[in-house]
Amino acid sequence: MSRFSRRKRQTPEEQTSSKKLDKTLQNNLEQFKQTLGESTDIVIRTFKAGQTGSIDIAVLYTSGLVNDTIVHDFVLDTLMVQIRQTPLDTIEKDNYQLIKDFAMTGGNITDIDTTEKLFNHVLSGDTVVMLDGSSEAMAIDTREWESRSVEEPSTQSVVRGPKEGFTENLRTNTALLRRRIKDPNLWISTKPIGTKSKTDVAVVYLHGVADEKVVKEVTHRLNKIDIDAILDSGYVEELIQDETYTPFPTVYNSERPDTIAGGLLEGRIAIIVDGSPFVLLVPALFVNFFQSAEDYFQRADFSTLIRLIRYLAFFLALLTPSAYIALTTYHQEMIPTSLLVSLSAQREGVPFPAFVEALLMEITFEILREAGVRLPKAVGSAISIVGALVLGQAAVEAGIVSSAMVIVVSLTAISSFVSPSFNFAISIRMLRFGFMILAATLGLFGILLGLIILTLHLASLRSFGVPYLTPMAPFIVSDQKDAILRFPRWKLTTRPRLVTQQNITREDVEAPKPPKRSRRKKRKKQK
Amino acid sequence: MVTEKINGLQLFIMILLLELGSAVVLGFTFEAGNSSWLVIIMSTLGGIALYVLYTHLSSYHPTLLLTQAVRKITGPVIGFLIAIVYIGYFFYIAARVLGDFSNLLQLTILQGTPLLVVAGAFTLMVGIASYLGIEVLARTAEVLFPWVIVFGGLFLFFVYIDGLPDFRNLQPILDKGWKPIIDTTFPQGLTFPFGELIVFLMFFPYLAGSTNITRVGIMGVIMSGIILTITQVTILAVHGAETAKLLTIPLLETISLVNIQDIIQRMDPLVIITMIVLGFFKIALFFHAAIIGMHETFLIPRSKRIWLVSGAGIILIIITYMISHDYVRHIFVGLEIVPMYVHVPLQIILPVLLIGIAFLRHKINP
Repeated sequence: MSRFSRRKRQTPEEQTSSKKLDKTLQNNLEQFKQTLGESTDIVIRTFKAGQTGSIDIAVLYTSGLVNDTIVHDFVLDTLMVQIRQTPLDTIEKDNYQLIKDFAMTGGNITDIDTTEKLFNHVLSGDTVVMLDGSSEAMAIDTREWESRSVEEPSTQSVVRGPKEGFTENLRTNTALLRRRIKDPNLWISTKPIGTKSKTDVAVVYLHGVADEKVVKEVTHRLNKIDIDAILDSGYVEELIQDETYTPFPTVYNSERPDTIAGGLLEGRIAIIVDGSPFVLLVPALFVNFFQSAEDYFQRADFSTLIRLIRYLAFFLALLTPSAYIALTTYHQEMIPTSLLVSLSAQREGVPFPAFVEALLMEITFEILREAGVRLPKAVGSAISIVGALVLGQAAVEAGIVSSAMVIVVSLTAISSFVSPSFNFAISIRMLRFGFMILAATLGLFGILLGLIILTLHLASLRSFGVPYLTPMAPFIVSDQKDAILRFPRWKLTTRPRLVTQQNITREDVEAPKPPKRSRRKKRKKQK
Repeated sequence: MVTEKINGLQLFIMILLLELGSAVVLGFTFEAGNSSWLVIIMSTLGGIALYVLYTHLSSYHPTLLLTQAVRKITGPVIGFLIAIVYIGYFFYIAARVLGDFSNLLQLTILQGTPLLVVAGAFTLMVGIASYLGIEVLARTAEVLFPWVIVFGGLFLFFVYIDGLPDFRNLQPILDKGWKPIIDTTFPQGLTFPFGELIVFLMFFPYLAGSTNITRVGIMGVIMSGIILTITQVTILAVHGAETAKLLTIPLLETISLVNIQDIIQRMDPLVIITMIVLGFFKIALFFHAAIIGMHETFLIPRSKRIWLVSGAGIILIIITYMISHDYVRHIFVGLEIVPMYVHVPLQIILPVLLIGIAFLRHKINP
């Protein structure tokens, strides 16, 4: 074998494994303590077992990350009390294997032989049992720690529909998905990411429904991540998204298991990050950010109406201030005369041009909103008073802004809250200022200039290979049923075409109808 | 070489937007009097013939751009020259249309703004579009097309609801006989806008394999002919031929007449928005055709596109300013000189010659 290939084979081993465990327990323990800097949350319990007490055993675990009952009843009790009766030290056999095979009552046991694995297991909440004279140790799954229980999600709330939300615990989250999709094809693969944090990141998809290419692409992008710590799914999102320099999110996130399960059934792929209640979903399209879980729980006609309102709100939030600026500054002839008269009467005392006025109010509002989010809950009500009085009445009375401007800002603000996705609303907030500048420089033409460039930009975006504006551009007739409109459930028969090409048919239902009288008669005749 | 793909629907929409581009806004020529809508119908028929001619030309080398195909047909040296001529031609039309629209915007909503600023803003949009490529442009067309249709539909709806059109204005049909109609059909009506379809010879290779170019395109041409005819009839019926001749932007003058019970009034933005969107597409398609032609002819790699587009964009603004800062002269040249001496040779004569040569080559050397 050539030198080159040998070296190549060794490299991954060198990277992943550190030292092998020693045969002597004393050496192992000393090294363990030294590496951990004698951290106080690590518990090391050493004792002797066997009838004569000649076998040294050590039990290691991290306090707070383990279930104490399990450690006491199934590990310590087994080793210290029950084994005492067996003549371990007189039987000529491998003690380690014997204990593992006959005595240990833990459910999930892993053999470990390197120091790195030892640290991994101890620090993730496993209990490790080491025997003197054995170069292997066993890790017993005893993980349990304090965590938030399943609560109602604080974002994307619905009137009708399940009220469960994801938690910070990866396993709880996968369980929430499993409970909704009890199909053997729901595949979950987990991999630790982050050299220091070693956060578990799970890729969840419906095998046979999700596009294999996209699954591969997701795994590939996750594997490429080289970072010291993942503290939230936001880290992962930023590291795997298609385009960094865009105000629009190309990865969807949700706290709602029903939304994610719905996405999985459409052939999308979910990424769950341990420690974050926000689960990612790819590919994410423009229309997804206008869909709320509730659209599918309410009747179709109502949901369609609500969706149309969301699109309207999107344009209002984006364009109201700029349209106001353009109309009052450049195109007064387009405003009905009586309105124009009243507007100019209001603006008579205002010292600033419409653009400055609008900018002033919009920025004030953004500050107010940010303050409202960060403020301790107890003083939250103060914000609403300040907002309503200072921004509303007092500013107008002081003659700093016109009252029409207050209406414009309020309309914008309320409209931007309509979006079911918070991160999509942020992009509108940012773009709004750009449009205001364009409207102030070129009027209506400026707004259109911005809109056309925005459309070009949106059309150029892709999310994991799928054009962002699908199904509008490229136009797909069969996907219109769940884009801007929401068709009745019995018409939602196929999965989105560009998201997945396999297993397209979802259901085969006919429209619910009461049986026709004439048919019954015919059947009777046939009989 | 070609990795971007567009589909049949996108081609249809782009043909429609290109055809409607200047024509619907500037208004077709009203020289033929009461029956000038007949000019459009005849031009559409001629347009179909031209389109078939172009698809036939492209069928000799379906995977090659026009600038590549001419080199295959006429040999490297002459082909290179013809390719440069066509690139220059597309560029010139882009500049001419840009001049049209910048002037119109200056006349209507941006009275105080210098021509250079308006043209510059347009060029910015067009440059970004060209930088992002034909696929993105096609998708953008798909997104904006419904708006154009909705606004156009609203325009007609309001005009007819208000009872503005008076169809007696259209009578008598053929009051001056066929002569003025045929005179305006050729070369003016045929070459502008229908002859401009030659720009699609630069985009046919991007079409996804299964598309029937001829059928989709003819549908597009017929559809645009119908829309143009409806618009023309409406404008004629509202204003009468003699007044319509004098209007700068007939469509805008028509919508500003609409006033339904003092509720529906001042609908000018409908027309202005349509105008900007259509103008953008027309300029973008010609500009992009010139850009990909340059890429291919001068062997500029795709990675340098940002420089090519920026440079070409600046030159576009300069040329536009040179040819159209005098609007009257601009229009005169556009309607009287360009059709006869630029459009006819490049849209009709040269393609026919190319087909002839390609046919002979094919016969001799199959």
